[in-house]
Amino acid sequence: MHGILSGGLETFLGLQQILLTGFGVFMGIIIGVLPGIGPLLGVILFTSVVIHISPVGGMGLLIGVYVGGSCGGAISAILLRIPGTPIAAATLLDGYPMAKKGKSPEAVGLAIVASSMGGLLGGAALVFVSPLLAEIALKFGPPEYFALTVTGLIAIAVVARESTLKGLLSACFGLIIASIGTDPFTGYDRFTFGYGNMMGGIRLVALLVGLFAISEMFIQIEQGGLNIKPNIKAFRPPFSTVLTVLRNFVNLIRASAIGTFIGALPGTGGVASSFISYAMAKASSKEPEKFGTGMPEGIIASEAANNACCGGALIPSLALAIPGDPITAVLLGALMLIGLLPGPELFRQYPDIVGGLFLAYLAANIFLFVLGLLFTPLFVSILKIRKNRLIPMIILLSIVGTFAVQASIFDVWSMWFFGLVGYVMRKRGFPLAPLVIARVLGPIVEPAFRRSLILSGGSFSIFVERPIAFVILIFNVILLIWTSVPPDKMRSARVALVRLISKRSYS
Amino acid sequence: MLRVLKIPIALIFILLLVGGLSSLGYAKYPTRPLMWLCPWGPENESVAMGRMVAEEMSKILGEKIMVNAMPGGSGAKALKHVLSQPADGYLLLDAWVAPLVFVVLNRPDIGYTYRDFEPIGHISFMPFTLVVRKDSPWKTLDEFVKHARANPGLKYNATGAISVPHAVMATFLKKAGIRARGVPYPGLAGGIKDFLGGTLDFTIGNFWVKAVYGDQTRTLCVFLNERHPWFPEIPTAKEQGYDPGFGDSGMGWDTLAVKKGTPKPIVEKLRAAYKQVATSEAMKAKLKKLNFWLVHKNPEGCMKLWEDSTRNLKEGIEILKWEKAQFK
Amino acid sequence: MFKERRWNIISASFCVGLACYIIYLTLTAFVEDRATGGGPFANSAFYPQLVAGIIIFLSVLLVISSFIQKPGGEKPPEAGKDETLRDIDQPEEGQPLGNDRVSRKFLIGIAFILIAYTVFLDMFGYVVVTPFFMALIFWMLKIRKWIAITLLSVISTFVMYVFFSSLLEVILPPGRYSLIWW
Repeated sequence: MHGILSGGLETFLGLQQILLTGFGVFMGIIIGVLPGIGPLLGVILFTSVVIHISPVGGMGLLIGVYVGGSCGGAISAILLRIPGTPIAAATLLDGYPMAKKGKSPEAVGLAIVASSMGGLLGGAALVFVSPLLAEIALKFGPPEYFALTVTGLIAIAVVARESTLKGLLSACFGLIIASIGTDPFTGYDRFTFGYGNMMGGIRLVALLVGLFAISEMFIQIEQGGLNIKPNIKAFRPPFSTVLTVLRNFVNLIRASAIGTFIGALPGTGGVASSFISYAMAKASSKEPEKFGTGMPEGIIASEAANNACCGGALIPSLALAIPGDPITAVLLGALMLIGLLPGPELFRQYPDIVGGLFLAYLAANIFLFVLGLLFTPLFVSILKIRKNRLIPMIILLSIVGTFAVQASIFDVWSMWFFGLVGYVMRKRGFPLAPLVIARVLGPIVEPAFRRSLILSGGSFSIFVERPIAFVILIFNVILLIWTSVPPDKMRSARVALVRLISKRSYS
Repeated sequence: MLRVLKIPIALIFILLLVGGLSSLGYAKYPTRPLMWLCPWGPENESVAMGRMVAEEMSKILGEKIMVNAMPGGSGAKALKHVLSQPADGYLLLDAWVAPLVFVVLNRPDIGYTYRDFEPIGHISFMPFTLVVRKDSPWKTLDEFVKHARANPGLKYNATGAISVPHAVMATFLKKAGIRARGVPYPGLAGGIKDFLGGTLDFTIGNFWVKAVYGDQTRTLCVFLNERHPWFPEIPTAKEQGYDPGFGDSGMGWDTLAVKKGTPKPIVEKLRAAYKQVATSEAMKAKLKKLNFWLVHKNPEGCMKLWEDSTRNLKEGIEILKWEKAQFK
Repeated sequence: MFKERRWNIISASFCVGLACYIIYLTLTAFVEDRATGGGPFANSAFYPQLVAGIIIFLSVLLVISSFIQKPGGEKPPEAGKDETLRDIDQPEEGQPLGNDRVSRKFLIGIAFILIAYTVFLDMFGYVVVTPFFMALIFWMLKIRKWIAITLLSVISTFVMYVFFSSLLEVILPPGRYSLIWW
């Protein structure tokens, strides 16, 4: 681990990398502030940029957008009562009342400080845990990998709780999309319809931008309110908020721990972690009845958790190549785009790059602190940008970015196609996240499956004979059965669980 | 509705006018940046190599050369893309043996052959090696062959089911009387984890594996006619009596090429520029750091290599089919 | 509820149709393209068939489950308030920000412009086409000040050009029939 960090210093300590990370955080906060485009969309829009710069610089940019975006949503949640991103929804509960009392500078300051500190604590977990996990996973062969990847797929599909079936269907289509193109095992084409452009498969960037950015823009246009300009005055948060956060030391640590842990579980993410952390803070507070009326503790709990969650989500993503949420799936896709196959081998082959990513993550949180507090007036005035100025620019960025990846017009066409697909899927309640994660994991799961069968000479017994693979597969079956319990029952069980945990921490 | 469309239609007309006016006549070459197309993904070292060569060439040509990676179909996608673009000399192709020759041999219906391209100059050779783990009992190629003959079914990384290294290895194994199981992985790097972890018994290697994993592996032989000047201690398979018999064709090689039909003056200009770059010692030393063995050939030499490879590698395809049939 | 069931059935049958088409392709186009080999390599067709099989199974379950659900039961979206992936799963339907929700025709119009832009981009190149396109989209989205439109479209074209072409060294579409490059 020491080697990883010192190697990381070499790759990260360069003007380009540091500036790009800072730029990423800056853009991330802006993206988070703007209603309708969250960190996911931000990371997607910048993915096309990554392959043209150095690996650590490019990933630093994306990680910066991720970290900044996870915090930026708090600003619009506090000021407008519209969470810029859903993960800021818990921040709204106490942030908006605080702003109403005329304490919006304090509320925004608290959100930024708590975010960056929570993120740093999550980053510490990332630095310590992921190399250990990678060490274990080095011994995994293709059958184990197959089993593990299936876990990731099932987990992400079933999280879309109200429609587990639709989630699984969506994941299956992602797998099919991933298999388009020349089959590496035989060298012949599959699903290309004899079309040369499709031999390389559907580009990940085209798919992502289409599914998320284009469909989102159309839905934004459809919702209207194109010319509305909220009336807000810019302000600067007081520095005393840092002290307030530090005084809430226990709350901060607890929220970060919850965020990291929940983030590391595949399929869960920022929203769940911030709500659970909020609930725990409320339960263990001396005056729980005041929550919801503008308690600083509420903001700290929610914001620290949802940023610590980023660090947690990166743990399985980097060490096992199993993304915890759609954003880390995109990050993995970006890593693959620049030719680094995430997973345990990355830690051995490129320890300096892994270390660089760790440092980029930590630096991003420091940037969040500095830039966030310095430029608050700017971020607040970003809220005044009207939708009809913004949407065309995002569409243009989508087109040019998609084209730039391979200088291919075909990619732009596939982007339009998946824009349509994404729009229809959203309207019909099919979650998009499983599709994307399946598209990212497909190139791992299919070769692992088929390679296992080649190793065993075509016999499925290989999945049973290898103990680790077998145990993981059994776990998968249990996971599937567990989630086929009707959602309402599931929900009451979960509520009971949260109550149980909170009671324990209360006493 | 009609009123809404009035302005769009007007704009489209203006657009057509401007576009049409701007397409009058050809100018001097090159007047805008060139593109260097690499048929592999951005992770491939050949992209980094392309950047180095392109940078030097652009100094001579006076326009930027941007390197673009376009993977897909064992490289065939990039070649098809070149053929779909105009033959104006603005699109340079890093034509690797796999898409240019081997894919065509395997799939004659792919829609192009090497005759559709015009060579600018040869770039590099990458010899293949046979690698085992350091802790394995085999110290020499002979020991390995003896053991493998007695124990059919050893597993190795075949780097793509239909690929030149796989063909070289399979031919070697067949001629040495060995039946082993090639397991496809995405390239050499993709299979190294399972090789070092013990799932595979041996692997195809190259100088990159030697440079990066030298302390954990042992290179038993290199598939060359003579020992390589960089590593004179590695014996060739030929001197041990197990020659796959491909010669120069049995290496990873790449040639800089453009689409056939590119105007003659442009081709000559590119050739001159490339030759100046490729014959400089500084460039050779630079590429050696990336484990690329820069060998310049004149256009006739390139054409000969293309023809020879097409002839020689045909056998490789048959042997791959044979190997596949061994473990039904 | 009834409407939701109908949509579930429609999407399920669409999924089944797609899965059947995938299996059909693996049995026809795959054989023609020789993508199916012998031995364990046959899995190049087996794997998509497996996934397609799962799709059909899940679609059937989807139809069945939409019949099992109690009619007039609880509305699921409210229950999902704190769901993790809500941001991308379902856009907030309610609370229109203004009273200018647009018609489907308008959306199709925008889509048409975008497609036209892609065609022209390939023909005439980025620099020539983009300002017109941006101006058009801004106009469609109800910006009516000509100065604003001109400034916004020229600046956005220029910024994007500098960012990609100069900073990232990407060749933006030069256009097949255009020699105006810069």
